[in-house]
Amino acid sequence: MTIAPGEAQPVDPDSQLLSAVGHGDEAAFRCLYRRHTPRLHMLVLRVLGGHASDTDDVVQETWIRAVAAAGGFRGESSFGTWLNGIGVRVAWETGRKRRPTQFLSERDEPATDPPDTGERLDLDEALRRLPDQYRTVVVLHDVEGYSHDEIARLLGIAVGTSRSHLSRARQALRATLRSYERMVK
Amino acid sequence: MMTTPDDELTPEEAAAFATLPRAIRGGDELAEERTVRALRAAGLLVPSTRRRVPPGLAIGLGVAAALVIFVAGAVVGRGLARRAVPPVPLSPAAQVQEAGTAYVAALIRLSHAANHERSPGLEAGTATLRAAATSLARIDSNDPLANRIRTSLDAAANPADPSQLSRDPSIVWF
Repeated sequence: MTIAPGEAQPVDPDSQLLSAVGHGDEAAFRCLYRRHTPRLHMLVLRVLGGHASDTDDVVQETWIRAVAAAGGFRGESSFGTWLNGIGVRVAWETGRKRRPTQFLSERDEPATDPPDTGERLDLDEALRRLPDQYRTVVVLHDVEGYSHDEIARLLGIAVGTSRSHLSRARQALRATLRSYERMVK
Repeated sequence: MMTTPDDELTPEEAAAFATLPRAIRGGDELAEERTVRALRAAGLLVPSTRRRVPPGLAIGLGVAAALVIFVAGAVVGRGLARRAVPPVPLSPAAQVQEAGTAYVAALIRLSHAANHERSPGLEAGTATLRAAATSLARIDSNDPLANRIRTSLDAAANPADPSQLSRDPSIVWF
């Protein structure tokens, strides 16, 4: 949308709220929190592989970092994208600290073990079964719509690594879902 | 690593990803309160009833407040300096004591003065002493000391009348 000279530019409510939060406005923070936490919570839960116990801590830490860095928000992306980026980084750090053995090198292959008998397997469950690195990339790319450049920047990895992780993650997802279908038939 | 066509999502797979929920009612009010408390503890939030003033504004307000206090102090100080302080009225006894002290101090200074200055000084001092004795006698006509001083001074002023001196030979001049 182009804005004609002299025409009032629409003001992003999130930017206004964030500006107030930067001045310590608690009411503005609560408003911002309620607007964006449901999506942030879902994203963090997926990146953490369904570890609900860590999710609340990561969401809280994400908000603390976001408020502390409120002055650095330039509006180059939407506030939600900016916030989710912080959330992914915090979740990434948390996963590496708490489950270092699950962070594989590029040579490692994702497991494709079939689920236990009777366990319901949907796409979310299949995602949870992926190693953290693969799951993070596929969640960001296929669920949240990030580009490989954005993922690489966000996670501090090479663009090629992001592509590689996505490819392996999709193959692992297909293998897991196929094995489950064969088992239930 | 290059991706292969097999890596691309099929329309069915893309649709499956598209149906995944993007939001969840995360936590509850307790989680929100916990986050708010953590932000308060970090000094990043203040309760709505105690809003934090932006740093720039806080500095400006501080400078303005300092200027107001300084100017008010200067105005009040100038006003106080201009105001004439009314003299505290002395009691009659204190006035007599203050005048007596000044009188004695003047006599001491006279004792150190040159000879040609002493004579008129002595006359003035004697006249004052007599006037003082007369005033004391008016206050109390039976005051023996006042009467003796006055009588002695009269006698000294008139040596032809020896009866005046003989009345009180114990007067000591000072």
